[in-house]
Amino acid sequence: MAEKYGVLIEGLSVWYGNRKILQDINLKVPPYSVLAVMGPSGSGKSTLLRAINRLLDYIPEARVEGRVVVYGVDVYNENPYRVRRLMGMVFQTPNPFPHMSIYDNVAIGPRLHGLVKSKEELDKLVEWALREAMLWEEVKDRLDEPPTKLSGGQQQRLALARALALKPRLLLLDEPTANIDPQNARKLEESIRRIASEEGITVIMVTHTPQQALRVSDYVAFIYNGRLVEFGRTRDVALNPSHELTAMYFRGEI
Amino acid sequence: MPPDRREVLDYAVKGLVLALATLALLPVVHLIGEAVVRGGGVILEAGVKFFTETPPPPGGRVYGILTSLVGTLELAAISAAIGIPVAFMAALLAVEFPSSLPGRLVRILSRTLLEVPTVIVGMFVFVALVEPMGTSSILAGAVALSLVMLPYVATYVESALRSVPHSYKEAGYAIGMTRAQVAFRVIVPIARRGIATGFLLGLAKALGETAPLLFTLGRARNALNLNPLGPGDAIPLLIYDYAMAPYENMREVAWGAALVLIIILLALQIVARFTAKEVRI
Repeated sequence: MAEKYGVLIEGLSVWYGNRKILQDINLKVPPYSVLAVMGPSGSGKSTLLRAINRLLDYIPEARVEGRVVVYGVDVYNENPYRVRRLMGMVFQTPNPFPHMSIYDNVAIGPRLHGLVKSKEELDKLVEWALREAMLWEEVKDRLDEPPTKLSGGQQQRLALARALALKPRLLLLDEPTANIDPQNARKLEESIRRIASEEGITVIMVTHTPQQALRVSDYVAFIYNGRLVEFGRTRDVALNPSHELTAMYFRGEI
Repeated sequence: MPPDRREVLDYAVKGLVLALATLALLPVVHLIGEAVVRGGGVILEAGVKFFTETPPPPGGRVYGILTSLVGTLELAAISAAIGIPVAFMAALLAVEFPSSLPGRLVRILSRTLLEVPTVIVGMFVFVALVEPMGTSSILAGAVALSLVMLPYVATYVESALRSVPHSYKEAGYAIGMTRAQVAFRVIVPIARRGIATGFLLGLAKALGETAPLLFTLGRARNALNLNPLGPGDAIPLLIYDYAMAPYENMREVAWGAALVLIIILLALQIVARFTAKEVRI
């Protein structure tokens, strides 16, 4: 890959009305790595993800300044729909489309963008995405059922499969394990790890738990009050934080 | 041991709630019961003729409600065809672009229209359509009814669309859907049950109306007219004219017609239940 960075963020600031949510964020995420974004609630982590895939476009009072480049694509100087095709997102609450079957939830992205030519190709892509999300074995005989029959953890893995079916270069995860049980969280973490290393996808994951960051991520970015306090290799940051705020967070004090 | 105070209070409150609920239901039961008993008797006696013959002149025997029934069905079809698409698009606009000028305008207008007495809607259509066309018509009646249903349908649909959680919209945008795709492939299908209910409640509301039809429809009930540009009749108008008539046979027809109207409106509700399956979230 020619690009040096999977994601390059320069001078990113975000306002909601007069309130500054993110202030001058600079980040360089190497391709195929997993970045964990950490910080207390309300520090602007989710906003950072939504600035990367331009979901902030739909929040009328939000204003964005700065540059976001994903694999060489300048996000704010490109058609937003094309931008979002490059990246998948999994949200805090499982949100598979309740009016579609399990199969259609995964197939909708490829169908929408004409990624496949035939039914066979689509079947294969759906199976691949569900396998990557470690859900295939559990749903292969019930692909026609609505996703609401699945458990919350399964629904979250279905949401991951839906994102993966677009063959994204970047995956944005907003506390994907916050609302699911530990076993399902484990499976999701395992998928994420493998997706990054084997499928060549860069992952940015917001997480609340230092343990999860240690298990899953290569890099950590610690955000406090809308500012980037610390960025570095996960092990270095966890063992040897250079900033007192980071240390306090890892000790569970803020 | 004396009974616990909280237990006694609990019983008392439960009893009070039950009594008040019964009191609230009583008029409804009485209303429908009266129509079923009185109207049912009339219809049974007249048989098929109640639906195949035109309404009677004063005195004499009971005739049917053919022209009024056909007129109501025709009004339903035309007013729904005009009112529902407009109301639906207006609601979508108000939900999707709430802060835009058209979005705000739609909300204000539909709230205002909700407050306008329906008799004034009838007067407006009289001036706007009946006078220029030189005749009352089924079309004019249908336009008046569509104006009556518009704010109801728009308000119901708006709240149905609004009830779809934001996270589903974000999921749609995140996989690269456009605004229109999110609206028609995510929001509308998830809210379909509420939307269909809104359509039917609005239609039912309009079909039960008398006032908008007073100066627009023409009360042509002696001969069947299917041409929407010509005058027609409707069941509520027939009831309005006949219920107070000094002739026994006309009042009986009014009771029968009332039962038919109730059945039509109930049928609309039942159709709504079966056509749109609820999406469980």
